[in-house]
Amino acid sequence: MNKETTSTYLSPQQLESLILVEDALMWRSADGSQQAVESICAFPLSYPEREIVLQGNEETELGIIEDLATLKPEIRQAIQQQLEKRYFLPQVTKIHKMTERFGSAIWDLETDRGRVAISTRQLNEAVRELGPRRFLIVDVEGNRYEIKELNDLPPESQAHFIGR
Amino acid sequence: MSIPVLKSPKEDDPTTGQMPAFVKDKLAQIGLNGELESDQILHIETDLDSHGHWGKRYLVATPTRLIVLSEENNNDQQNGAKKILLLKRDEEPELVIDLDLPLEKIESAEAKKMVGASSIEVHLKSNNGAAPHMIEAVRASAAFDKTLEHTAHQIEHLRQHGVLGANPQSEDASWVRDVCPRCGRALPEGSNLCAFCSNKWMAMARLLSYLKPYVWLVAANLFSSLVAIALSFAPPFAIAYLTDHVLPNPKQILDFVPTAIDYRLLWIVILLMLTAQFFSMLANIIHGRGVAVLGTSVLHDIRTQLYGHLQHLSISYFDKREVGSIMTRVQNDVQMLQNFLLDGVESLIVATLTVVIVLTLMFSRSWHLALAVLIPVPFVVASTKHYWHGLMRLWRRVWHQNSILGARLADTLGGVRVVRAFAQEDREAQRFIGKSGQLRDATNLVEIKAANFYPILGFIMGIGAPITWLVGGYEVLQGTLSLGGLLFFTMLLGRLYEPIQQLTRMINMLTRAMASAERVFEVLDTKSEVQDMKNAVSVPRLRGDVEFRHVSFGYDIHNLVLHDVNFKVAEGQMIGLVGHSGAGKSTLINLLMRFYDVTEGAILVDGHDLREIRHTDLREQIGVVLQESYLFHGSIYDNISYAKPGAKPHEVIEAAKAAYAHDFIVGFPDGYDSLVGERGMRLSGGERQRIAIARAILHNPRILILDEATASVDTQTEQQIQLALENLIRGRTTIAIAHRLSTLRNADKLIVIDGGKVKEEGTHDELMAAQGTFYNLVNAQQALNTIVTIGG
Repeated sequence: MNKETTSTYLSPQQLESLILVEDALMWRSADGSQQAVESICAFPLSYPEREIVLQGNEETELGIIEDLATLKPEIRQAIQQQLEKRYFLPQVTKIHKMTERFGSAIWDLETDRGRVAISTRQLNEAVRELGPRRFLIVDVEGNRYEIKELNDLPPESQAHFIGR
Repeated sequence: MSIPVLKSPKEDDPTTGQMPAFVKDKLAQIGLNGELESDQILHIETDLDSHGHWGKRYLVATPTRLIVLSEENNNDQQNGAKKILLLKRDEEPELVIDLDLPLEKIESAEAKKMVGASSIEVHLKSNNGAAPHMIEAVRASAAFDKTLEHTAHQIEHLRQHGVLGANPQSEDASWVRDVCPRCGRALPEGSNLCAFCSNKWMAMARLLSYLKPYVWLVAANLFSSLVAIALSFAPPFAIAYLTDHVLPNPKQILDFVPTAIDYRLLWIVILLMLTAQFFSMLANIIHGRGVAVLGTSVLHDIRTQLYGHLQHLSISYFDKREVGSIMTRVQNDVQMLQNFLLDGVESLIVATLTVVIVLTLMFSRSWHLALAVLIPVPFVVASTKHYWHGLMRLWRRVWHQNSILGARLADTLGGVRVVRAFAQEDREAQRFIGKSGQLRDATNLVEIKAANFYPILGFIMGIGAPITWLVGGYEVLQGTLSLGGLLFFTMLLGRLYEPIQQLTRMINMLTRAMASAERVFEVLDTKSEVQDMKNAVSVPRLRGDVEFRHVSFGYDIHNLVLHDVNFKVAEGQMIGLVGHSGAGKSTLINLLMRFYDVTEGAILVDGHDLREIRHTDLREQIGVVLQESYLFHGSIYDNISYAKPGAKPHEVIEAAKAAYAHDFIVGFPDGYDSLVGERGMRLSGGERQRIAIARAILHNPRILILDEATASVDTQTEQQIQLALENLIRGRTTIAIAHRLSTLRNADKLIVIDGGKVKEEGTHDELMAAQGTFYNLVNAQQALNTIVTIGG
C-alpha cells in the first residue's frame, strides 16, 4: 500500500465533517454541501460500538469510524440513537419456560423489551452459537433474541436452556 | 383426511378485515364516524411501541387521515406473551392517539426495513421551504416486514388515488403470516404443520388407512400373535399343576410314595409344555413373517406415493426448501415409519395382549393376590413417565449436538482442500474437539439421569416379588391358595411389569412416528404443480414464435425482478439476452419454462398464452441447455437420450457428433456406456457442456433456451463448443443468455436487460454503434478478458 492510500478509518480531521444540524446527523463536504448520514454496524454482533460505517446519499460510503468512544459526546449519542433504532435485538433476561416437540419449540422469554412468547424451529436449527456462552435464538418469523452470557441468567432459566 | 391448508384465520388481506370494536370506538371519539363505514379503510396491528418494547399499536388509514393508536397499558409488557401463551386478554384496553395526520400533509410514506424490525416512515410536506420533516409512524418486529411494506404502498395509493390498491391475487401472499388455524401460533418456515396442536390421532388414523388393502393379513397377524402368546404361558400352568398334583409338597415327603401314575403325569405334563412351547414358536415365526410382509408392503406404498408426488410438485416448492431437507424427509421419516410399522406396532400388540392375558389369569386364580401384585404398577408407570419425559428432553439435546457435530464434520471434510490450503487443520481439530466436548456433556446428562432411573425402576419392580410371596404365602398358609398357584403368580410377575413399562415408553415412540407420518403427509397434501386450466389447448407442434408482453414478475410480489418487459422472437430467430448478473435474465428463462407464472402481463407462444397450453406439450417442445450441466448418474448414452429414452445408437451418435462430443466419448474405455457420476464428476467442464448440448440436439425442440456457461475452457475446446452451439441453434427459435462474443455476433437480435427492464434492442453492430449500455458492457469486460465472454 502506498502512502497515498487512505487508512481504513476516518481520521480525527475527517471526523470534523460529521455535524449535527437540528438533531440530525449530517456530513458536510469540502464544498459546503450537506448530506444526511446513516450509521451501520459493520460487525453488529461482534463489535456493536466499533467499526461503524457511515453512509450518505444513495448508500455511498462516507467512511468508517473505528471506535465510537473517540467521538464528541453529542455526535456519539446521535449515532447511538440511530443504531438503536436500526438494530432491534432483544436481550433475554429470563427463560420462563420452554416446551419442545420434534421439529419445533415454544419459548416464554423475558427480555429487556418485555415479555414475549415465540415459536422456533428445533434447537439445533434455531439457536446459533456466537461464543462459548453466547447465543442467538431465531424464531420462525425471523426475529432474533440474544443471550449475551448464559451464566448471567437465573439458574432455572439456564436449566431450561440446557434441558435439565 | 388431509391436513388443512394454512392461511391466516382472518381474511386474506389482514389490512382490510374486521377492526376491533374498541379501536372503532376510539376513532369515533375523534370524529371519524362516517369514514369508518367505508370499505376504503386500512388498518393493521403491530407489535412494538415507540420505545421499541413489545406492545400493541394500531394504524388506521382512511382516504383523508392517517391515525396511529397505542394501548395505554403498554407498560404492562405482557402483550407479546399473551397471544401465544393463550393468556386471557385484558378487558378492552384504553387507547391513546399517537398520531393523527391528514393525508394531504404527507409527502410520501415508505416502509423502512431495519435489522430485526421495520417501520413506516412518513415524510411531511415542507412548508415555507423548511427542510422536509420525517416521522416514524409505526414500527414492528421483523415478522411484520411484508405487512408494513404492503401498508406503506396502500397508504401511498390512498394518498394519490383516494382508494385502496387492488389486491394482487397470489397464492404466495407472503404478508399473510402463516399461523396454525387451531392455536394461532406461528408456523415454522416452509411447513404447514403446527408441532403443538397437530392431532396425532389424525395422523395415526391416516396411517392405519394404508392397512386397508391388507386387512386379512392384519387379522392373521393378530391371531397368530395371540396364539403365540397364549401358548407361551404353558410353563407356568405346567409347573403349577406339577406342584399341586404330582410332586409332593415338603410336608408330605417323608410319607410319600410315588406311583407309576405320578411318573407318567410328570412326563405328560412336561411333554405338553414342550409341545405348547414348540407351537408357540411356530406361531411366532408366522407372526414375524406376517408383520414383515405387512410392514414392508405398507412402507412401499407410502414411499412410492411420496416419491411420485414429489415429482409433480412445482419448482417453487423446491426453491423454497433445501434439497437436503427434502431428501432427509423422504428417507428419514419414511425410515422412522418403517421402524414403527415393523417393530413398534408389533411390540405394542404383544405388550398389550400379554398384559391382558396375564391380568386375566391372575385375577381368575386369586383376585386378592392379583390386586397385591398390581400395587407397584402405578409407581412403575408414574416413574417411567416422569423420567422418560426428562430423559427425552436431554436426549433431544444430544440429538441436536450430534446434528451440529455432523454438520461441522460435513463442512470441514467437504472443504478439506480449503482447510489444507490455509493450514487450518489444527484449528479445525480444536473446534471439533470443542463440539465433541459439548456432545459429551449432553450425553453425560442423559447417562446420569438414566443411571438414576434404571436401578430405581428395578427396585420398584423388584418389590413385586416380596409382596407376592408375602400375600401369597399368607394365602397358602391359610389354605386359600395352593403352592402351585403361588408359583404360578411368581412366574407371571415378570411378564406383567415388563410389558407395562414398555407400553409407557411406547408413547414417545408413537409421538415420534406420528410426527414423521405428519411430515410425510404434509408433502402428499401439497398441491401439485400449476395445473392446466380446464380448456388448455393442446399444441402438439409449435412453430416457435415467442412474445413477452408487458411482463412483470417477482419471486416475491413486492420485489419485482422484471418490469414491463416486451419483446418478440420470430420463428427460427436467435436472440441474445445480455446484461449484468442479477439483471433478470435467468428469471426470464424460468418464466418461459413456466416454472413460475408472471405477475403481470403475458408470455405468448405461437399466439397462445403460455398458461393456456398444456404444460406437457410445452415442456416437450422447449429444450434447455443450462449453465450448470447436470448429468444424472448413469451412462453417457442414458444422459444424451434422456428426452427420448430408448433412442437408437445412431441417433445418439449423430447428436454427439453435432455437439463435437463424439470424439472424446469414443476415447473413453467404455465409450457411450461409460458411467458418469453425480453431476458427471469424472468429466471436465467442457466435456459436460458438450454432452448437455448433445442431449438438447437429440431432444430436437422447437424452442431452445440456452444459458451459456461462463467457465473458461482452453481455446480448442472453446472452438468446439462454439461450433457445437451453432449446430444446436440452427433452425430453432433460440433465446440465449449470451456471454460469448461469437454468440452475440451471430444473434439476429440482442436484448439488453438492466435492472429488470429492457434497455436496448438491436443487432450487435447496431448496438455498438449506438454506444449505449451494450457498448459499455463490452468494453469493460474486454479489457479484462482474453477469452471473449461478457456479462457475468
